[in-house]
Amino acid sequence: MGTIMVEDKIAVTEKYKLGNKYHVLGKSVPKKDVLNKVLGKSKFGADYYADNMVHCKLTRSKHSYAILRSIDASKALAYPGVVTVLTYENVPGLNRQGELIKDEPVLVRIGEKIRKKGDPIACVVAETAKIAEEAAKLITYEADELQPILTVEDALAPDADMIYDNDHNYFIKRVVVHGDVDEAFKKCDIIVENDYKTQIQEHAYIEPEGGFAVYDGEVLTIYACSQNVHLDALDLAENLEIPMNKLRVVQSTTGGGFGGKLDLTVQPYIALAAMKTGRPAKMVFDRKESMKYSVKRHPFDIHVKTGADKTGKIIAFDCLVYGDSGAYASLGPATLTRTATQSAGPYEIDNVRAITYAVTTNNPQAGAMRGFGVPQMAFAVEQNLTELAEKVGIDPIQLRKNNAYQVGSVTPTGQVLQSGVGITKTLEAIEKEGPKYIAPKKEASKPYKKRGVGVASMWYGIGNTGFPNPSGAFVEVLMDGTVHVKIGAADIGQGSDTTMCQIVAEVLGVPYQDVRITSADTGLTPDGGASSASRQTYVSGNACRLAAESVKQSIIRAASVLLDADPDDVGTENYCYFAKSNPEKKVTIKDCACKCHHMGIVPLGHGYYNPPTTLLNMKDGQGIPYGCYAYATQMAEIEVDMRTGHIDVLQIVAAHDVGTAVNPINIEAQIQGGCTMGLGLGLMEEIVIENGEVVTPSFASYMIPTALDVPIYHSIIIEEPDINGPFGAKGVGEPSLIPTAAAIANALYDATGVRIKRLPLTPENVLAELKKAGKAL
Amino acid sequence: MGFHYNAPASMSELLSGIKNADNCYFLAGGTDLVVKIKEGLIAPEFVVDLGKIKELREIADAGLVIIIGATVTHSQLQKSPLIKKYAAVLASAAGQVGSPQIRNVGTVGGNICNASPVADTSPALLVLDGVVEVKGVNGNRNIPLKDFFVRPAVTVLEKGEFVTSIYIKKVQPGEGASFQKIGKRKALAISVTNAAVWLKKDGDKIADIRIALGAVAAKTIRIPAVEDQLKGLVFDQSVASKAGELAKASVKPITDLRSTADYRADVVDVIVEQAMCEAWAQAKGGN
Repeated sequence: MGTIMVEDKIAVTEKYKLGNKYHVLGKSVPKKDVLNKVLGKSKFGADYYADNMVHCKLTRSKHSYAILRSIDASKALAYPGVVTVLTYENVPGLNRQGELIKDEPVLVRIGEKIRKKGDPIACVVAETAKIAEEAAKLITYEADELQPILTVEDALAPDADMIYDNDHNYFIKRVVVHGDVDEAFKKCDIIVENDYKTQIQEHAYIEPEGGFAVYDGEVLTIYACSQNVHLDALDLAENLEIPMNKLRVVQSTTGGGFGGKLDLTVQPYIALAAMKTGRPAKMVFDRKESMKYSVKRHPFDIHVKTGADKTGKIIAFDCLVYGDSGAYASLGPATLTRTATQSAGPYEIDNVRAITYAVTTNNPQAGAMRGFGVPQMAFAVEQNLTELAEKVGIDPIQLRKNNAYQVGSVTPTGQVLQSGVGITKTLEAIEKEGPKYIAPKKEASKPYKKRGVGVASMWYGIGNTGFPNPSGAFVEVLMDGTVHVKIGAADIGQGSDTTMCQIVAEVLGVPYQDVRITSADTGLTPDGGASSASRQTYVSGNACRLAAESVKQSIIRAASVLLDADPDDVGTENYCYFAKSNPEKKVTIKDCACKCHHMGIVPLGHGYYNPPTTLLNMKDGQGIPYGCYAYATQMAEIEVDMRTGHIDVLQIVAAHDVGTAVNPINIEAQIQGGCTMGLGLGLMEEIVIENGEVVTPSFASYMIPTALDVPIYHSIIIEEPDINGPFGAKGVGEPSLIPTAAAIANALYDATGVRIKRLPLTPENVLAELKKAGKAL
Repeated sequence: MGFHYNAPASMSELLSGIKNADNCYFLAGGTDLVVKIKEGLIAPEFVVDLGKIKELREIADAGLVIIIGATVTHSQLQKSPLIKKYAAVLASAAGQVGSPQIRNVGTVGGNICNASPVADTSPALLVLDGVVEVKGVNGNRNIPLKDFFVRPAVTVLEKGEFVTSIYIKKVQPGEGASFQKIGKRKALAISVTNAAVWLKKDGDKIADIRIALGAVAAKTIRIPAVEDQLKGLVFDQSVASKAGELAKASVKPITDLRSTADYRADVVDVIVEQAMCEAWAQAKGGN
């Protein structure tokens, strides 16, 4: 297997014509997790087993909005095989969880509000999963029903009931103001102003939530899918009222997250069950439970106004965005904050105003999802820009190039971009390479079809918005010369374990195969923050680089003794250390590690990195939200059936500036996966909610693209290194999804002359708009 | 909770053991039944598994007709040389049901007994003039498929009755048939609407025609009034187009989670026209 991958990596590296000055970095080495995954050896939460384990199942509220008055668990307790039933009385701590705001009950307290359908009322703990499921149906509760608030309009109505003890029904209002927008619009020759609407999207990770907890009387260990074990531990410790050093949270192999596994899911219940019963406890959501009660992508109502002079220089940008964040904050406030900072796109605009709300309703909660409030904006803003280009009379790529950020540009939050501004290069790549795959003009394949080509761009700040988000790493060189890396970052399939090992191998000058990693285990690894915000390559990557550089000092000290050379004279090549003044003599890292021990040194390094951000001013959003930015431009070719409204996406050319490409084949996989998820957002995916309840909770009713719906992808990797990134690397996980739906929407306009401002572009939606425009066949 | 499960090994064992109970369900592939049980939509007392009865799994050539056993899977239909030669429309429809995994398990008998108005095999079986052979405690009877469906999940089957096979007419030279479907994506898609057309040509005229439509009513339907208007007409594109318009005018689809009434009505004509053109091309090719 290794041999095959080595050949592939050369092909991929050559394909992308990437800089190749490194020995491991920039190579498509095999991912650390793949072999176990293809062999079925990886252990997911649902795979944990113990003979004496108990199983948990929640009884959830049927009300969207009510005050809980009583719970009757007597029938469940009497049911054979039920061990115990947990209610709020069994939650020793805060009984409030949440990534940003502690507002979501672990188990709803009597006298308190139920705020959405599916709020946890009780948790049955039983001998088998089946018994737990049956008994959970026997638990009843009484509640005083309140009138649920199920739309943004109702939530923001002046006389609306307050879902929380507050004077407004929103979790956050964010304002970013730069320049004088109202004055600037007066000077514009062309103004494009539109309303857009986007839908709720489900993460649809392959692995529904699952976990397993073991309590030994002193330490509680939890194995569960997660994107951030350290924050899980903090949230759990507060609710369980146990110290964090007696709580070990281990990430089980995680089958995708996309933002949906940042919030606690099964963890509090298995923790409580294990502590209460003294037996290992397990809980696994089935697909329906996962789709109904996990967080979702925010649906947005967007009003956006773009103004330019007659040459197409964008002078002013204004947007007002309402995101339905549902009943609990989750990551809604952070999502709408990011939306505000990035709404205008990768363009230098002197006058920008963005106002965003994360609105509180009694709907299922929205939270983090790949792109974090930016894909919705791209759908709106990139369509506005293409409309603007048409009005100006210039090519849409040229319009973007004319306005694209450069080094030294000032962003809407007042940040001066210092380096790594690759937007122009992605536009040039699409301009040059795009037509090689997608002919600018071509007949559709059938007389009743129309063909179109569309382009959209994006920028994405890497890391959490305007908040410290440090990551740590330990690197130890062992006596045989192999290396062990310990980091908090969770590899959820995106490949962070692989990336980190490549970075450490590069710094230490050791083979990639000799670097092993332990990640996302609060008992063993330092805090790595969340595997979200496309941040781990950049943030944990820097931590690994720093930790490896620190241990390298010890190795070099040992090498200098062995080589009888000055430490400054020690170099590394071909996995050996040598004296630059006498390159004939070489020592291995194993020699150096042994020598360290003889010298009384443990070759152990640690490091942590925090992006150079500042808090954003609440009044005008000014500050430095991110340490670096990724950029991308995508081009989509589609055909539309003018009789049925079906859109067939034929090809996508995707040019992504990733800073430095650490692992090209993995980046290509991210681009293809992101585009596919973006295509789903663009064409078919939609969680439908009726009366506060998800009515599309299965893959029979919630459509995601199949292999046959996926177009041909042409990935272009652009390397515009950022001064802050490890070896210049940035991130690509979320950027890959962001422009896709927008590019498809622009292609639809190119094909038909009809601009659709509501996602998804289902055949029903498209045909209705074509008919309205008198263009349907 | 829980049910009695029985898997008779032969037809005689099955007939002798039939439960004349309200709550007896016959299990074929289980792609609908098992899901309904799991979801709590039905709670059977008895489940009789037809899977061990060999003769129900066979496709037989009986001269002018083909006899398809009730537990023949969609994959079998899709791949059977006999079906591909004489009833390609059914092979095509069966090949568009669900995914390979579902087609390997789901059966044609199950598909019609589930009586979903969106079932993909139903329009094809209807235009092939399918007849359902039924056995039960009170003897045997044959029911034309067009009289078989009542409404979603309901057929004319009575307590203790089950389907043993479906008879279809072979598509002869000078005849053609086509199945068309609109789904929400290119694979693994439940039909938003579907249609099948069978026709027989006589020179440049339509000598006979059968049209079946799915997902536009509470059951898969034939539209005899439309068929009658088309019989005897000289075929050309405008007649195909007229067939589409007539079909569209004859249905009142509904809005549900999968699509809207407007949309279904908007595309019925498209798929009928297309099915008709393909059926005609096939009929011409066969002459």
